Amino acid sequence: MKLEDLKQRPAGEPMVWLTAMGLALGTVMVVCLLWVIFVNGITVFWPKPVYQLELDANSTHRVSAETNVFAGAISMDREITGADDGTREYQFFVGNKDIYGFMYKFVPQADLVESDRTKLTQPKDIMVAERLEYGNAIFYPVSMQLGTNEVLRAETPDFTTKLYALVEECNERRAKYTALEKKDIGRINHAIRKIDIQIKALTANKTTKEVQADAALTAQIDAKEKEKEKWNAEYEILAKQAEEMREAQEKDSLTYRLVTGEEKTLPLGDFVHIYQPNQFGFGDKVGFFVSQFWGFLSENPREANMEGGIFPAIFGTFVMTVLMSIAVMPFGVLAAIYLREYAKDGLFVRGVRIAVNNLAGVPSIVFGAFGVGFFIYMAGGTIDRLFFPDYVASKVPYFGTGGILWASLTLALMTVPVVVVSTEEALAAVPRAVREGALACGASKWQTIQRVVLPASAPGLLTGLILAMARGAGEVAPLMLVGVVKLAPELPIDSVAPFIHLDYKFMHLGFHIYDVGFQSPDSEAAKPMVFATTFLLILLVVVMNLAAILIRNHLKKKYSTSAF
Amino acid sequence: MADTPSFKPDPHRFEVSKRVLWIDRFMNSFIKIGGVGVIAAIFGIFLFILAQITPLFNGAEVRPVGTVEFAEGEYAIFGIDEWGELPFMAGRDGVFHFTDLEREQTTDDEKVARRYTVEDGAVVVGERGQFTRQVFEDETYQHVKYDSGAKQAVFSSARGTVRLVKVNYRPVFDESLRTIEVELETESPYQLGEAGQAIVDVDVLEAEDLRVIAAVQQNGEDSNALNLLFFKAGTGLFDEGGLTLQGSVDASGLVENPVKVRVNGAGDALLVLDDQDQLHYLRREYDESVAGDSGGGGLLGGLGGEEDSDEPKKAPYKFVHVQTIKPLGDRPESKIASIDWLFGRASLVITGTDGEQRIFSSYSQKEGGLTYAQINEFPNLEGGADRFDYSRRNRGFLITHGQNVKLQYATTGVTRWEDTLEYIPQLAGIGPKYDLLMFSDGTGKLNLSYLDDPHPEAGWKAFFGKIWYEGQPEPQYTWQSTGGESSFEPKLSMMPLIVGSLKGTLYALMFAVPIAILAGMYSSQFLSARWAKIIKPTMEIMASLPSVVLGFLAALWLAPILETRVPSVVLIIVLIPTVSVAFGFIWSQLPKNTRTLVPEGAEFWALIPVMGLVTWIGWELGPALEQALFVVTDEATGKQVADFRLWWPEATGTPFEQRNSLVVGFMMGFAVIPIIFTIAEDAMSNVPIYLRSASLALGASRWQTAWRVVLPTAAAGIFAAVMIGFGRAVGETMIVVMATGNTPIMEWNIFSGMRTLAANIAVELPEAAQHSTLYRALFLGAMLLFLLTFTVNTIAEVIRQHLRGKYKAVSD
Repeated sequence: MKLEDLKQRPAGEPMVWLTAMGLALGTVMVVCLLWVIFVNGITVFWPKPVYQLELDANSTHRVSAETNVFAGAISMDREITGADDGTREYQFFVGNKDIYGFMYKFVPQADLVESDRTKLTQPKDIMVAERLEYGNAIFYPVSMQLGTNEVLRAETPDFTTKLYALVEECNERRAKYTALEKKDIGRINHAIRKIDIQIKALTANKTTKEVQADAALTAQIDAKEKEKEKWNAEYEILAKQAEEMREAQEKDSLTYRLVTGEEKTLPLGDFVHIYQPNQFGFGDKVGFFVSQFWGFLSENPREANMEGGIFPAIFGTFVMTVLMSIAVMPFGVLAAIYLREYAKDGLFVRGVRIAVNNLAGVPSIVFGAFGVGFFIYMAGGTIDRLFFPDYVASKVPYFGTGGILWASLTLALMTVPVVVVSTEEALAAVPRAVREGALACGASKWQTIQRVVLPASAPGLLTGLILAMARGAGEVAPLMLVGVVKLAPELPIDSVAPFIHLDYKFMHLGFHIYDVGFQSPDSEAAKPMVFATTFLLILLVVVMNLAAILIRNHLKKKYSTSAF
Repeated sequence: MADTPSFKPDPHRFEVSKRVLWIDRFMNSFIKIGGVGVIAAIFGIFLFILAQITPLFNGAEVRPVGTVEFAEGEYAIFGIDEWGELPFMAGRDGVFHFTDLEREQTTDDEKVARRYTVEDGAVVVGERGQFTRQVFEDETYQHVKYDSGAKQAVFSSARGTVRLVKVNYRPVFDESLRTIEVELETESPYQLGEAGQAIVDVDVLEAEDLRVIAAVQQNGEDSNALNLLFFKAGTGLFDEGGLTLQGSVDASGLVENPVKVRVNGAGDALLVLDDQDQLHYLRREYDESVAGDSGGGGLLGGLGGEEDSDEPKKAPYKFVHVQTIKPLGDRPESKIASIDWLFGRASLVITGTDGEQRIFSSYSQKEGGLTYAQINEFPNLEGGADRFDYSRRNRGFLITHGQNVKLQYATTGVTRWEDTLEYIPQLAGIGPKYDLLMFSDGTGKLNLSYLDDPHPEAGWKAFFGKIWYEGQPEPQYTWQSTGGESSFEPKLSMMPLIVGSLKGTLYALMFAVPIAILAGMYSSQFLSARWAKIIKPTMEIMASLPSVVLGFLAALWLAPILETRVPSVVLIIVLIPTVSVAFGFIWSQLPKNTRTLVPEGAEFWALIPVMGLVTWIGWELGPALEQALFVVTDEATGKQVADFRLWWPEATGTPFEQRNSLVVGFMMGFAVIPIIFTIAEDAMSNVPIYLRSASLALGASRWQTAWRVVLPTAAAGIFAAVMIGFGRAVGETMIVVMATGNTPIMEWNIFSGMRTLAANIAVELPEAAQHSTLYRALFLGAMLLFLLTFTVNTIAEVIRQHLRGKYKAVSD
């Protein structure tokens, strides 16, 4: 009996279950976290039905002072905090910030009239419009003014098709004039700014009298001014074109009425997208989702980054990561080859190896501080003094301020240990026999490394690079110090010579999350945007890491089977 | 056959081509130089940061420039403008002698050291040369002193009159050429007390909207009188904007035999020294009787025509005796030699005849009201202070005794610079920008020295010691880098930041270490290989989650949820492990064929639904627990409210904040778990297999093997894992920046926030001017982080290597 008992019930089984709890907790938490981000991030783009509801006569949660009626989409459905009976409240997205002054409204379920509590009504022809300003509007259309005198009532059968077509036309026109303003006018501004700095530098440290006395200098300045005039003339022409297109945007307008009764007329150029969510079938919803998501990826941000897309942030992250990789790869690999193939294995090399390894554990903010002190002030300041005296004289730092180059180099420095460690691992994994074979065939040491060792360890190098990129792409703290901004007017790569602008400040996905989530005036309204950005960043980082893990596993398998 | 090809081998066939050799040699040296270079560059970071912080610990540097010769004469005061170009000296007769110093115009900003033209040690006088201005001729005054802060000379006479002369320096710009102009401005003398009462000591407070003249006057044979004149900003009908005389106050009688008087920066306190070496603190109060007397005529009283036209107006104030201090009470043989204000007029420097130098400062007591106490003391001088001047930039002061001069910093109690001059300085002063020192023997020779002391407020004590700052009731560790007033003293103690860093790390580790080690143990000892393939990459992905994402979730998602549900969270934390163990116990008691439903190595799957259930139960039971335990009485209504957020401050006296250490600990734990897990798992799964096999073969259960054999063997590795986790948590930036209020406080309360070293750099570095003290102090923080993480990681790494060696030895 006793022996049997021992056999059946090994000691300490409950403790095994306790350790199982640790693992279960860890994995469940990761999955939950990713799930929260996924759900919150992806539903931002899914169309939500709009309800038209009525409040109890004595409700204190009115949207408009005039009436009990309101319309909105449910953005949150939760139990009222502190309530024991489980009564719920809804958070409605009511939009129309220009009229109500807010976009979200909490309404307890109990405040709705009896009929609305059980079944929420979805009016078929209610419209939602994305606008350039004040976020979305929810309304019923009243009429359209075409040109100066033609008026189209909303009851006209082809009203909506016409409206959509005209909004689309406006969008195309807007794309045209923004391109014009960004590209051509941007180029001119660039040139004018340069001339201004040259003029400033010429006159720096001189009094007007001195300048007037110096004939050669005056001639120089006049020449510069003439050049500027020329640019200005060109600017005038383009600006006029843009202005004409902008005026055309105001030509037609839409008059709409809110559920609460207010009427408003807006030029069609102020709308980005108008749709009727309650008429969407599943296919329409998917289409809407795709177009919204695409817009998010490809558009510029609007309204203090809280609306529109995040294209500049994606682009900035991408360019910075690429620059960082270009900087980190040769140096990391070089150091690793030295440590593994050339340095004599001794106490010194072991010490260096440990130190390099540990540098990966030094907080990123320390690298950020170093970037500010060394790259921006010391290196940037010196470059400005040596090569851009014009900028120094006019007190506009060129490289002596945060920019994408310094940010990339700072992150490169931070990720060098990652690359060194993984490259070393990959080099060490190449079996000794392979090396000896190459040497025995008469290859020189460098030939062995170049033709045999490096190709064999290429996947390991790639793993290191991907890990470094993933770390660089997700890092924010040092970037805050060395050149990330909340809104960059220009992309670091564009069509203006010299095409790659290493001195530009840039936007970054991670910083975008921080900025929109914490620095924006209305954090509630910014949440969907932040979740969507977070989703994107996580996707990027997780995919990169998965790729690195897969490559590494593949590598392991390869060498475990091909061992001599 | 003659032309049979000869098979004579090419003699060079075994030689390697020159090109290959050259490339090989080149690559050899290239890789060596490059490799060493990269590694050196990485360590250059350390040197660079070190170079940024060393100036913080340097003393002041003083370099004599030369002598400016004024006309021969007896001078009692001197001063200089902010740009150091137009010094003056003056005597009691009211004749001001100015000398214009030529200066090379510098192009860079004003930080570039000025370069006077110096010939044979004498500073060459500039274009406008020397000139004199006489501001009054009515009489010669008995005393004169110059307040370099207000740029005002105070003449006082034996008749009891005081005359103020303002030295107004003004930069005049002719395009980019700048010159300094000076204008002397005086008002007619003011009579204090009764005519004929000679002034013994006078102090003038000159503020933007307030002026107070306080004087100790001789009063025949009995006790000295104490008289004050108050001026206030232009409420007068004819004098908009300027200061108008409000009236006089007679404060005699409160202190017996006053000798010296000082007015504080707000004009609401007098510090009066009596002939017994006692310092009396008198507080100004509103005197209703005076205000009532003048009634509606208070404003118009000055217009004259009424019966008391020759009587001076009375200001509606009276003074109350609050405190008596004996600054040198412990030194009976020493007498007080001087009392002078520091910048901001909140702290006094009191010196004794035996050379004591003590700083007294005011602070508000807990019970309310101000009080004065000694906050710092310097080593003794040879004797009492002869000359004194204070810096208008910081809490530095210059003090002389005989030929000895010292530049002291009051807050830290450090002597920045000291020297013995060749003459006895009759006048000594600090330039308005704390960049010049001036000495004169009183005969017309003004000796100028550059003062290069960019970081007087820094030093070991300032960063790591307790410092008694002005206005604080006791010595404290404080970080407060910027303040509203110009006289604000930056407080740069690293201690609250270090405590903040350790606090966040501690809570993160408390959460992460148990989970990570348990998970590592399960994964290395019990988990079946099939699942390990999925679980380990999942944990690695967890390691790669950007901290900005965790920070965002912590602050905007987790913090609002946790805020109202603290009891639920506590319940869940307790329930999950207990239920897991209980479930394990019950399960192991079940009959064998039921138990095999969950195969060994897959227990964690079975636990997931159990944990889900427990979490739900804990979540729902939380409010009930709150109702039962965390009840407070609402003071306003007297009702009983069950709210943990109110209960916590009441029960512990520490605040409850939404963004607190619990949230940070949870999310930072999240960031640390995978790191500890990976390394601990590595250490445990590398324990040689036959140790485990031997243990199992001897009949130990799998848990006994893990607990008694694997854990002790891998203990060092697990310790290393925790240390590396510590290194990661201590430097974590974004989570802390986003999920706490970033207030630098020194407390371990779990429901309040903190500011860590890393967050401090992220928050303040963008605003810090290059090479300012704050900038360097932030680099000091970076250095601390660097050293901390580097040391911890190195120790951990050495332990791991040692462990690897041990395993190897066991297996060999």
